[in-house]
Amino acid sequence: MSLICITGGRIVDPTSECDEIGDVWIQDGRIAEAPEGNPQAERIDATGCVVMAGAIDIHTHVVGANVAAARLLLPERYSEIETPPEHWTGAPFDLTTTGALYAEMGFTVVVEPAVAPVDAAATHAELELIPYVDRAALSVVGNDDVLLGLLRDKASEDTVADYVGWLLTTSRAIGAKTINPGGVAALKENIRSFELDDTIPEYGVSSRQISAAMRKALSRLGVPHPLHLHTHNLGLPGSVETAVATIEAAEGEPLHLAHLQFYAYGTEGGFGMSSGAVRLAEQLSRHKNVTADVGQVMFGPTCTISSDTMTQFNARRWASPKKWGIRDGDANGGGMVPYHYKAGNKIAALQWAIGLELFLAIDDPAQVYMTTDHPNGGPFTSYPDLIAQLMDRSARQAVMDQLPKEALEVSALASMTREYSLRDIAVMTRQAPARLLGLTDRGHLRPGAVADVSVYRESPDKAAMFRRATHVTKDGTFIVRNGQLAAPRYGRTLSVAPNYDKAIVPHVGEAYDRRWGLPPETFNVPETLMRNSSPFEVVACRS
Amino acid sequence: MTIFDPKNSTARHGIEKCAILLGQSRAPIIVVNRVDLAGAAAAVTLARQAGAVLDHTAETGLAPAQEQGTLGTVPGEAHVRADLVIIAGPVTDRLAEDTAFRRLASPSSSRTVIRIGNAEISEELFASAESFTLGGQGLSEQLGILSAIAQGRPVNLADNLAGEAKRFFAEKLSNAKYGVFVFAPDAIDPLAQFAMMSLANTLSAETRWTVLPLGRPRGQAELIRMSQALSGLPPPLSFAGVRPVHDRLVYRAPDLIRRGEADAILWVSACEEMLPDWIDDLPLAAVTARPDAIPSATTQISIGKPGIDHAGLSEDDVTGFATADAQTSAVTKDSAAQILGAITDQLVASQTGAAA
Repeated sequence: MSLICITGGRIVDPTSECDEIGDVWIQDGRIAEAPEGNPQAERIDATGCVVMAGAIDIHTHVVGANVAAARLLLPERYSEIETPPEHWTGAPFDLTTTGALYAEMGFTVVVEPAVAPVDAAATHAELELIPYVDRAALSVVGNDDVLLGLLRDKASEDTVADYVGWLLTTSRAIGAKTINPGGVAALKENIRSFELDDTIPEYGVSSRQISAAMRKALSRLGVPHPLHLHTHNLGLPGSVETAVATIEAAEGEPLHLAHLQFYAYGTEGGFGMSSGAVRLAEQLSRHKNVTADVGQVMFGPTCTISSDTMTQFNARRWASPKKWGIRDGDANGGGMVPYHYKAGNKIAALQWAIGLELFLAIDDPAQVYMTTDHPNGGPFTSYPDLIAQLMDRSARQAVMDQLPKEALEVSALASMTREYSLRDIAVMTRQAPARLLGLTDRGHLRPGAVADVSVYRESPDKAAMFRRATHVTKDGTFIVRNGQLAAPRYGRTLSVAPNYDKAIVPHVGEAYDRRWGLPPETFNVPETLMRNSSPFEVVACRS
Repeated sequence: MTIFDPKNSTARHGIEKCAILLGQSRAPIIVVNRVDLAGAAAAVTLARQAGAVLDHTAETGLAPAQEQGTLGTVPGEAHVRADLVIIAGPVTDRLAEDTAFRRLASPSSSRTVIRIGNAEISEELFASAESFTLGGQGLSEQLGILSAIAQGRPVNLADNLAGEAKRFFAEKLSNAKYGVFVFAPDAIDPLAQFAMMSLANTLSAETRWTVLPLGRPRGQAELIRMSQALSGLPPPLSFAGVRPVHDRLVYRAPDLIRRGEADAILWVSACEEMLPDWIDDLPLAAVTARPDAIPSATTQISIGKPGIDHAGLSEDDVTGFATADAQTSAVTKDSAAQILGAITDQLVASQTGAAA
């Protein structure tokens, strides 16, 4: 029996309304009640430290065909590889570095949000090689021929649910993401923009119908994570109208909106773009069924990576450097467009301000999730700076002082005085993400939880505080001790296995045979072909 | 640590000799061809441990995509949607045998197939494909002519393109709903690839055009992807320093050998392949699916082929993605991943012993 006591720290666990000095006990990989007596235990002195559950990143593009293509597209950025990884050049990190950087910041679960089902096997082979953290993936559904064919043929909701259940199970996903529903399929027919009620010519199906079908399918299957929706018109001035319409179209059903910042754009102001963040915050306060991650822009070079090929195809004109990789795929494909968010650029400056506005204007931190949509808005390594800007008004003012005035004139950020508390941070990065993903034993420090614990030295410099945890345990084992990273160890890949009617398999088989001449088993992710033994853990669906 | 027990004593002895070769080398090169994802990952781990340069001989065709980007597609999507396919450049044996190419290059009532740039092709297979001689000195120049036609620019065609053909191309290029340039990346020069990509971009202003390299060596994609995932870098790359370094001009195996910057080679291939002549120039150990593949090798270890002799995740010709290949042979052979993992373990043991 292993027994650890993290003693004397400030425990911040909103799930038990705890914000007080105390001890956290870990026994055999789980959080435990304080034992009776004075048993032999390894004691970690956390005096002057904040103790939280391990953080969870619900939306970070760290593996997959698109990430691989982005690496290939930017060889010139590797000339800077001798610089520390924190000095982001926009070229994606390798898997070990990814895990290490997350662990050092106190993260213990990361979710790759866009896995093409046809690429699931290779993606999982990469995902399992990210050390230190548990991983999960969302499968991309919504522009694929099978689903669109079912909707065109007016298949029953049960049949659609069976297909989605089969897809999530075979691709070992924790949930489903729909990306520019209908728009990506329409691009293949040379349609360059797509609205909520536009229909794909080949199928006669609209975006609204696709999203509704996916929401209902996930609900029928009992998948904890609601539909993870990347709606259309990403990044365009006026996209706030799309976001509002998308929220209302959910009709009160659970929905998660991805990287909301990229949809919080109005059309006012001198350069035709303004903040719609406050309006969207009001929408979320009225629609508690909707959650959102922000996709915060942080200044610097990056390579945008998205399976929204329509947006990426249209974004080629802004590529910096002037090159791109756009790949039509079976279903979504992918688009890689390098970009540089420059603080002196009024559009990039406004994007940064809009993201912070969303964080600060959405009252409930359980409705908004900290993401940069890594690497699209910036690298995940900028989270500590983002936390500092949320917790400390002067930190964001220091950035605002560097920005073009025109950008701030069409944003409400300068008037916002709210500062996040440690509790808010714990809700946003621990409690709420765990609940969203259905991880009942993560995101909190109550007895029985997986012992994923992060310890930070409390400091007025919040960026420094959250950049390097002093201690981090994963399953009760130290992956960071006294600020030093331990040798890599490998966690699990979390996925759901919903019940579905196996009668759907022959239908899928016919469709796959028509398209590829291959059986659907070709796309399975066999556990026997993974490098680590038993890398998968099933997350329970609701009955 | 799990100790891998190879299937025969020859392999056991070979593993030790490979580790010695790499351990004693000051500047080893590990050349990897056509392995599955696990084999690719094991090769990266071994290269890191050995401080070696990791290259693969099939990188031809990467540079234009890296420098210019691509508007690409996948074989399945092209097969379903393409109404105009232009086969650009020679049809190599590998391209002609490619399942996706054979599906795509067969004309149908809904698809026109055109050949340019000396795209010699079996008439028996693609009897109704239309072939045009565009003139010019090569494929890149012919693509330039097509670009001029597509954009309505004047072009001197008096000797090499009749007016009828010019009208044909102008109409076909701009009216295609989903046009695809298909080519074998190792059969055309980078300039032609640049020209093709530029033309696809130009045409995509109004309609949809993509490029689709086919007939690549199987396993190329896996190695590129896994070496990038594990190192952060595309191949070729060197693990000789504290951090891996990528430079496609510096770390190409044949160039390193020609310049005298390497002193040993570990050649890894899980499939049949053509062998370059430069591999005879240095001490060489071979881990291959053909036990007698390289006569000059000082050590040879036999491995199985993924999807035949053992299960693996390998690139599928039709989808373009790595999919699960079950073992089809009754006899299981050691995989590249197992042998390379064992060499790594042996190397670690010898390095640890030497340090002690």
